[in-house]
Amino acid sequence: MGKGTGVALLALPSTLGIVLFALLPVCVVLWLSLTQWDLLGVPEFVGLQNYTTMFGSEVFWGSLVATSVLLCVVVPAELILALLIAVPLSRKFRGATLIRSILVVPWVAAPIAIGVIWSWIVAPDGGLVSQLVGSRIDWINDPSGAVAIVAIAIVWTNVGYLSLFFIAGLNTIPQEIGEAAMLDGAGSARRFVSVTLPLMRPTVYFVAVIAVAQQASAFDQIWALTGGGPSGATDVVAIKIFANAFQTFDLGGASALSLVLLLALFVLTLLLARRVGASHGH
Amino acid sequence: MVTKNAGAPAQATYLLLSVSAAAAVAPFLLSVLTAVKSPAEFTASSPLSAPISPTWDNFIEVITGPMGFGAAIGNTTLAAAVLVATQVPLSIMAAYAFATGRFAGRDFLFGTFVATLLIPPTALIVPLYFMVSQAGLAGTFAALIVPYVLGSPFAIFLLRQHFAAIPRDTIDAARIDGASEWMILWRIAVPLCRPTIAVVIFITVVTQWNSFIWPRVVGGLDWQTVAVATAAVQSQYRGNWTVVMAAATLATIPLLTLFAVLQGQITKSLVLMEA
Amino acid sequence: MLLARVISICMMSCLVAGVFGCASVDARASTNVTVRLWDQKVAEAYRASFDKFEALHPEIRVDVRVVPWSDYWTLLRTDIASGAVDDIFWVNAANYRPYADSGDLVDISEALPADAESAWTPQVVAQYTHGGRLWGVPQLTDPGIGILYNANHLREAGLSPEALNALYWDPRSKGDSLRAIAKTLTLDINGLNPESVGFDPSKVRQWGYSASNDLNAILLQFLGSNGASWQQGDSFTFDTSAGREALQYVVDLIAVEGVAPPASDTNPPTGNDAALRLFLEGRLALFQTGAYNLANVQESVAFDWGVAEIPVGPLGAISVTNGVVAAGWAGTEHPTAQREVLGWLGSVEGSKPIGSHGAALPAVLGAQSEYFEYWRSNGVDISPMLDVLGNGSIQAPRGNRYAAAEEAYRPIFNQIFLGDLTVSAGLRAAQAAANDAIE
Repeated sequence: MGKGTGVALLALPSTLGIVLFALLPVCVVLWLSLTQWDLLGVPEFVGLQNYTTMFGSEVFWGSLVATSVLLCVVVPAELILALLIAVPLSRKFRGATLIRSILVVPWVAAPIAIGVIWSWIVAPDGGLVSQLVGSRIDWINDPSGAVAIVAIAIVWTNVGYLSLFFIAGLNTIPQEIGEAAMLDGAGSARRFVSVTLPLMRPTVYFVAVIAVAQQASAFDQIWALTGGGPSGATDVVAIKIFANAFQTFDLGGASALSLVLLLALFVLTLLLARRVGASHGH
Repeated sequence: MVTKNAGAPAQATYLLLSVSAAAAVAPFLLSVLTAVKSPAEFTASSPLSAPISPTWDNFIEVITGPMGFGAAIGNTTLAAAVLVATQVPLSIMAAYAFATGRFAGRDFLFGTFVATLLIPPTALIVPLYFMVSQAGLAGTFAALIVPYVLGSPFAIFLLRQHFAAIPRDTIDAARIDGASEWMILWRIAVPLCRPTIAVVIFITVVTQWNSFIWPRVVGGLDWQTVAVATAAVQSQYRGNWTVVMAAATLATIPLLTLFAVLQGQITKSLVLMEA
Repeated sequence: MLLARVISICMMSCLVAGVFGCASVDARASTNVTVRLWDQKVAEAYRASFDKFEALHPEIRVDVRVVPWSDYWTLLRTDIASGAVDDIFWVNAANYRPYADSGDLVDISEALPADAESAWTPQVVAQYTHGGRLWGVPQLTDPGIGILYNANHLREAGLSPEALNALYWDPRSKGDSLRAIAKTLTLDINGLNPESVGFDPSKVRQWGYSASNDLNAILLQFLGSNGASWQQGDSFTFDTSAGREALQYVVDLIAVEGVAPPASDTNPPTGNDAALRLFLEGRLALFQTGAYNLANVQESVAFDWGVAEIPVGPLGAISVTNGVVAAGWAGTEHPTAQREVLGWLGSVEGSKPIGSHGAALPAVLGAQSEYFEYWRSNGVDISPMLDVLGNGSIQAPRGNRYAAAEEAYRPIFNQIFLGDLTVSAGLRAAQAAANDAIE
């Protein structure tokens, strides 16, 4: 047991780290959400006032809608595209590693810089698309256009990285199963859908959890592209937290919003994680 | 899957992959292209055309101009260096403990670490800011790194798998020889996992270099990082695309170059992570 | 081994960075006073001004720092809250009250000699006096809003600049001169204006007038000229029949008459500079804006331009006038040096460069002639911007929680301009939201 404790001590600093900087803040945000604070004074206890204001505010519900819309567009797109790319990339051929690395490049770059570059690409004045087409293409200032562009930029950033997970998952499928399907005479697309895909289910759910968690916190690209979108179309919860806290200086309200985000994500990942657990049972 | 040409993908697939690869790097190449053009040339020519007379002026404007980009590069490099010196060793220690230690609550504790990976960072910005400002650290260099110095759950997760893959016999033999856990960790385990540790260091540098919302909130005007300065240039030089792209280029190219050098290692390690 | 090597490299870079950091601190000066503002042009003028100051006070060194407008108020709040803000920083009327109320600003009435106030524009002094004390040293005062016109466009349309003196608008008639002239000045790529058959509104190469959701340059003037108000005291009072009329007129200029760029381009905050850029590119004939854009225009345009008075409304031509002050941070570590610099900024000598660089109109009365001289010597007569103030003015935005109110009303106004809300429904909602936000 002495040895055991000695090794355990090695984990002490990092444990202190997550207690202080991951777990404690959750308690703090709960407390802060019951106060009103504008950064200049001290937080003042106001009970549930921030919550009643928030749930009665159209802007809040609009933000939830915007977050959900973006989530439902981005995550499936990411999963499908990442899977599509992973299938050919999971085989060994000349240049496979190189292509995999190239696809990961967007994930290495700063999301805010990616947002800035995309803001130039779609800019109505002097932007890449407008210049190439010859006339002013202004989709970024249209609510649906803004959602589409933001979704494209985010999916573009993440697909390569997520495909790595699918590649790993595909490589764990034993060859025999594919061969057996071939002998049965199944075509390759059919083989994929009825044999490979079901076997990939745990991986798919796992990657979905990662994608959802990432998207819930998505901020940088949206901030650089729209700052919250025309008519609140891209005003996701993460953006609203920042805007409420550091532009309107309502940190109590921002904390209430943060708590909502935490709870929503907790529920979502719990639901998805159950699926992961269930599929592993196969 | 066994096919006639074992492993070689069809023409169509090669096309799909090439297009995807091109799409992945095109925006960066275009931003560099734009950044070396003078504003006059930019308005006059197609965005896809190569510059006739490339200029460094945009970069000079970004670095020496009023947005403090030069200082931001220094701040970010310093922050990344400090984190590599602190966060990485502490993560290594924790990962080793979870991989080879046998102590009560080990799996539960590790599970907690993994669970924290699912907490959206944006939801913690406000309370962390409160804590940091109560500690009197807001607006200081320390604030940039304090939440991260004690370890990174992601790095711990990555490293633990690799430490766990070290043959039990090697470690047991060393223990029998009387080596302390500390020595086993640094003399035996770490050298065996060098590539993964390189990847972890790379990821630490990348995460810090790219971090936007936290430094924006706690750094103030004195401690801007590259990401924060890039956004500042975008709003100050709105419409002046050559300068804005110069900033975006400075923010991305250094890391992309580093990645290009290490790419084989990194991609392999990330792929193994899920398995 | 690898890790040890990496760590030692990191330690070395820390040391090196530290050395560089120390080396950049000037060893000459014993006191370092920093000044923060958002205007790049005035920052250059300040540099010239502080060079003179440093020559007179060798023991004080002054650094000027520019923060982009879009980040200015966020950074100011967080930096003040963390106790690490510049010794002197600009504030405007809409944003200074919370800082005055929480004791973060230096009381100028006490810090500087009592007679200093007489040197400054009275309206600005009044704007920043609260609780009987003055909370900043007046630095800029806006002349009124005016119209910058592209002389080439006027010539091509057969108009003389004098024709702009007859600009008037009337929400109740169908044929006021603002609409007529703006339409003459709006051209599509085939050279047709909105009155002609075959005019293509999606291919406009030149807009006539810069109507938009711009509170300071457009909305306040139309409200005031129609007898409506924006606020009375701190409360928002724009939802009146006069207010609705005025706003409907502006929205119609865009959506019905087609003489202004689409609201999706000009809506704040992303569209803040849209009209300026269009004017600089030669694609806007009449650009209604304040003196803060004169320098931008002058150094960028290749065409002849001039200044005309804003259109006359049913109740005359009423403009807003605003001032900006340099406030002192109450938590400064160098109060004596800070007071010296504040005094300098409030003096004729200190403010002259603001005018002589053409950056803005100084609020220090004795330094204002520099500004008129500058523009006169560049062939631009800016008197229409000053003359309009003789008609009276509309109250400028103010209040303790104005930022929160703006967050509340701005999206609603954007929707009105985009056509997603009617003017009456929108103004009602916006006024309610704004007044709720300031409680």
